[in-house]
Amino acid sequence: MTTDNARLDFARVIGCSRVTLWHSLIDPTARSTWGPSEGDVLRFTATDTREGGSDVHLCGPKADPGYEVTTLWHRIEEPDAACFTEVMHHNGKLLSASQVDYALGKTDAGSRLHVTVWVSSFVGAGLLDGFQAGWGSALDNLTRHLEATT
Amino acid sequence: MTIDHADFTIKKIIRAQPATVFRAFAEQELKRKWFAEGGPKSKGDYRLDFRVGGTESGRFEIAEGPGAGLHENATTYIDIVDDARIVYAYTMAWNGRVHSASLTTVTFAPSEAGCKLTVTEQGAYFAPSDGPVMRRGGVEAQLDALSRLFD
Repeated sequence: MTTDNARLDFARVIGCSRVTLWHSLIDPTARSTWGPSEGDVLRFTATDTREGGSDVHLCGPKADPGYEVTTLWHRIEEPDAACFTEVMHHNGKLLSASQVDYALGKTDAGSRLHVTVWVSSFVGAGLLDGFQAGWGSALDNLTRHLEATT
Repeated sequence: MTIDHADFTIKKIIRAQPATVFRAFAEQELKRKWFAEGGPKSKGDYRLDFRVGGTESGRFEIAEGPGAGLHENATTYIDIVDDARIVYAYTMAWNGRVHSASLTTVTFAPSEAGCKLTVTEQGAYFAPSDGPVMRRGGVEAQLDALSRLFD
C-alpha cells in the first residue's frame, strides 16, 4: 500500500472577464460543458456548491461514465479564488484525492487563471501523469470554450 | 489575495504498536487528549466521527497576541485502512474565515521501537494565515503530545 504525491501547477490567460471565468469554473452546468474530453461526459448527481458543501459528478466515456468524483468545497471567494478537495473513485475503488485551488486575476488580454493541484494517488505514480494530462486538457477546453462564446 | 502552497512530512517513532497508535487517532476520547486538549484553550466541543465520509471538528481560543481569536478545525475523512493509513482533508478557520485547506496522509508502520508514524501534509494558505512553518510546528507539537501518551 503506497501513496504517491505530486504538486501540479497550471496557468492560462483567457480572453474573457473574471466574472465569466469564475462562473465557468464554479457553476455545475458550466463545468459539465468544458470539463469532459472528446467522447466523454460529465454529469452531476448532487450539487451543494458552497463553503462546507459538496458536489458529486460522474465522468468518463458516454456509454459508461465509471469515474465518481466528490468535490468538497473549502473556500469560495467570488470572483477571486476557490479551494476544494476532489476524491475520485472508479467502479467503487478509491484512486486518488487531490486538493485544488483557483486564483483569478485581470490582465490586458482578459483574465489570468492559476491552478494548483496537490494530488495523492493510491494506485501508483502513473496516475499522477494522468492528472497532469487531464487538467491540462480540461483547461485547454475551458479556454477554447470561453474564447469561442464571449 | 495571496495563496501560499507548501507541503511537509514529519516522521516520528512512537513507543507503541501501530494498532495502538491507530486507536489514538480513531477513538474520540483518546484523540481528544492529545489533539484537542494538548494546546490552546479548547472550547470543549471536540467531536470525532471516524469513518470514511465522517467528520471531525473542534474549536479553541487564543486570548491575546497576533493569533488572538476563535480558531476552528473541520476535517472530512477520505480513506481509512485499519492500523495502516488515514487520509483526510481539513480546513482551519480564524474568526469564521477559512484561511487554510490541507490534504493529509498518515501512515502507521511497525518499527523496532514500536510504530513509525509518517504524516504528510499538502496545503494552501490564504493570507492572512499561520502559514506552513507555523502549521508544521503545530502538528509537531500535537505529535509530541501523542507520543507522551505512550511514554
